[in-house]
Amino acid sequence: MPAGMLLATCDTPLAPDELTPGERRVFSALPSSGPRQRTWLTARRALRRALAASGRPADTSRYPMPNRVVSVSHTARLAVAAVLPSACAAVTGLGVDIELGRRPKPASARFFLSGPEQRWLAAVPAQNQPDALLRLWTVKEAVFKADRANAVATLGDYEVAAPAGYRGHARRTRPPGSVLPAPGEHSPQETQFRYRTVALPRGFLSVAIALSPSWRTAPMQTVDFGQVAQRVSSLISVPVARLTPETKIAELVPDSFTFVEVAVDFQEEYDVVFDQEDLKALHTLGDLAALLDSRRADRDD
Amino acid sequence: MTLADNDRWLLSFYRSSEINGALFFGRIARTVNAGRLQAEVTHHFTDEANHAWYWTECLNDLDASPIKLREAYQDQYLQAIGLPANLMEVMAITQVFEKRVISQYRQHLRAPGLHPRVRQTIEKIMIDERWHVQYVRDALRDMEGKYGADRVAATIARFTAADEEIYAKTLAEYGERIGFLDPAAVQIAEAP
Repeated sequence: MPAGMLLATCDTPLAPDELTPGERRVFSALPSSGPRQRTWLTARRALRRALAASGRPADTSRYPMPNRVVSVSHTARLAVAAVLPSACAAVTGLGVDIELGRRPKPASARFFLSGPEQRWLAAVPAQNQPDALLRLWTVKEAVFKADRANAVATLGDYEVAAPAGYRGHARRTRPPGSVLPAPGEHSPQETQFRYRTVALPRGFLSVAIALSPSWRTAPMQTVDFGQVAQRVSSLISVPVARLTPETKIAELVPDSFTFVEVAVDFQEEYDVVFDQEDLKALHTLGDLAALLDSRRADRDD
Repeated sequence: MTLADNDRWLLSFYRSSEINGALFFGRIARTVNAGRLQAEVTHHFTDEANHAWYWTECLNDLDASPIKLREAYQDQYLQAIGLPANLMEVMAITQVFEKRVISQYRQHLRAPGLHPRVRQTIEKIMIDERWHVQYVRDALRDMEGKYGADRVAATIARFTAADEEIYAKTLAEYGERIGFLDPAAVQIAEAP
């Protein structure tokens, strides 16, 4: 993630008489009844703030969405804007999403989560599922917005590598203009996405960037589940044949000391750092492998 | 309940906490990569086991067999602040805990009528505890490059605040047994 990303929030709408001619054209096309105009004006004020801080021109009509360097999102009362102050050749799109309050119904998961993501969610304790679902919703929305070729895409066309992670990478499983690749098969030119999520008092904020397919010349090292299973097996004396990506960690470790031992051992071995949020989101061995993979990719960026 | 019963319970509680410390540090010693910290954590592990042995011997010498307690002071840390998520948090919680142990043992040394055998055991353990605080402090300083100085400081501050709550809760829970360590309580008890 580029270090120079700027975020601005705002809860007050821009006055219509402050709009530039370009902004006024967009504004006049919005329905005058309902909240649409107010939320649009609030988002424009947030975007102007971020643009002003970045040194970019402040006329927001100059930035059609989806955009390479700006993105906006809003709830009923709060808007957030993200801006990249300087263009980076590797970044092809930027997305931000904020959601506060209402959690999606678990039944809605099938509409925007991939099969592996739904299986991960099913392993999350029931009381934590609404938060996990809302978090993933913001990730998917941010990734979707960062994809400038998203015209015919849906949120379900994107898949995150480690659903448990508050940061990580994602990919589009159905490249633009192509049929869905076979399971396990990736398009050689598919866009890579990176995202980060922040927990807010009543919801989540996610930002994502799309990376050019050619941005990385060296192949990415991945953490093999077999290696993870082998290590877990040696740490807690469980036959490796019993371990699958769906194996629940809580059923595997007999006590909290063992859990700490396993967590620290993997961090030492792979030279990565976990935090408390990571541990709370770890439910299966598949989560652990994906988190290690994600953290190692972050470290190598 | 007699004072002797309280003494026996408290020394057994110390023993149980030292055993838990040894078991925990044994696990951490297995996971830390080779280097100075690995040697220090392994040394720490042996110290905790030795301390449990010292308390066992002390209780036996006083003709009071150790009570087989399951609870230990560390359990309450995990309940209050969650599991340490990484090696830095393990060291931060250790620093806070070791300072608490030293404070508790110092307070015990000031208790009126302290048996010389108990005093001897505490003073022997305190030598190791001071080294624990010192090496953990140095280790945390070394970790600032990897984890960030602000994050290390914030973690220690968070655990210190939690420790104060935990100790207050412990006093409330076991006040009857360890009230004799509190000078104010002693004054009240000695008043006519």
